[in-house]
Amino acid sequence: MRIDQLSLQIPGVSEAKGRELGMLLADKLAAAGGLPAIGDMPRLRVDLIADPLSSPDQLIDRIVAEVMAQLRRVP
Amino acid sequence: MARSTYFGRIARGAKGAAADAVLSPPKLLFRPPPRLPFTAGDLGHDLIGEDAADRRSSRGIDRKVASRREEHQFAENQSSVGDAIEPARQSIGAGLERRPSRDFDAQFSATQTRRPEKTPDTPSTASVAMRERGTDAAERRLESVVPRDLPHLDTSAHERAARPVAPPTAAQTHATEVLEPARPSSSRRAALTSAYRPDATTSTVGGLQIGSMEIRIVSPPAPPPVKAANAVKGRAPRLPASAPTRLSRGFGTFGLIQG
Repeated sequence: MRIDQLSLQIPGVSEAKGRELGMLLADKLAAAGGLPAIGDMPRLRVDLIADPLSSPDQLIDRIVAEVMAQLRRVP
Repeated sequence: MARSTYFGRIARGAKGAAADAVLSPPKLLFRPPPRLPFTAGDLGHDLIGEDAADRRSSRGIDRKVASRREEHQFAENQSSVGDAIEPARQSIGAGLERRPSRDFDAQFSATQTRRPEKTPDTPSTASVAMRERGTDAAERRLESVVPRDLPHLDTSAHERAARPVAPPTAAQTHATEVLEPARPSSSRRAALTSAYRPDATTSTVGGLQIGSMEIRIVSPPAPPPVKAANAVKGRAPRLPASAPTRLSRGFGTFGLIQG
């Protein structure tokens, strides 16, 4: 799996924290199974509603789940 | 009685000059163009042998020439003294006189003509031999320019030095400037991410590829604000039904008007 560009927009999070979340997201995406072996998706967009009560790990899990759901719909 | 007049001297002088012109040998005013020893396609003649055959050994003709030379000795002396171009005839030995028209040709052919000896691998035509000699001379020039005993030059450097420098052709100059076809808009990548990765071409062959991933987390919508009583307007609290509906105004204290 290759991601050319990853952008995170999380309100109320500093840049360093956002970079850390991005690295965590990349690791979880790489470790995730069930991805299509071959595919080309020029653009993938995920919109989530933040939960003030959830932790950053839970937020990343939600993002990974959403990404997986979109990738499975790739023809 | 002999009268020597001016016209007579002129006439004698003119006659003497005419006699000199007749009796003096022809002066060589120009050098005849040298004849080439052989031409292209010439199978070769023994020019040295021909030169020897040109030499006359007839004593009778020489005797005639010698007798004529004795008859006009005055003219001979005059020409040998006043003209440096014409060589004196006395230097030529009897019986070996050369014909003047073939003399230069014979000398030229005798000195210049040195045909290469025929070897089993030498072509028979002279033109091929000339080409080969020219090639050998060119090789000798190249060898003389490039020294072979330089210790710091290896064989490849020798070959590079001996190779003639030729300007690059247009095909060599523009060989690497091959225009790539325009990439479709769907396969455009970020410049810094795709252009400088050495494994970019290998990763695009197989696997999942995502060009741009944008993740946006939005805040939850704010809860609707709780409606509170507007204290500014001073809405009067509801009174019980049994309470009087009219307040007395202007009658002093807040007393109920019972009526």
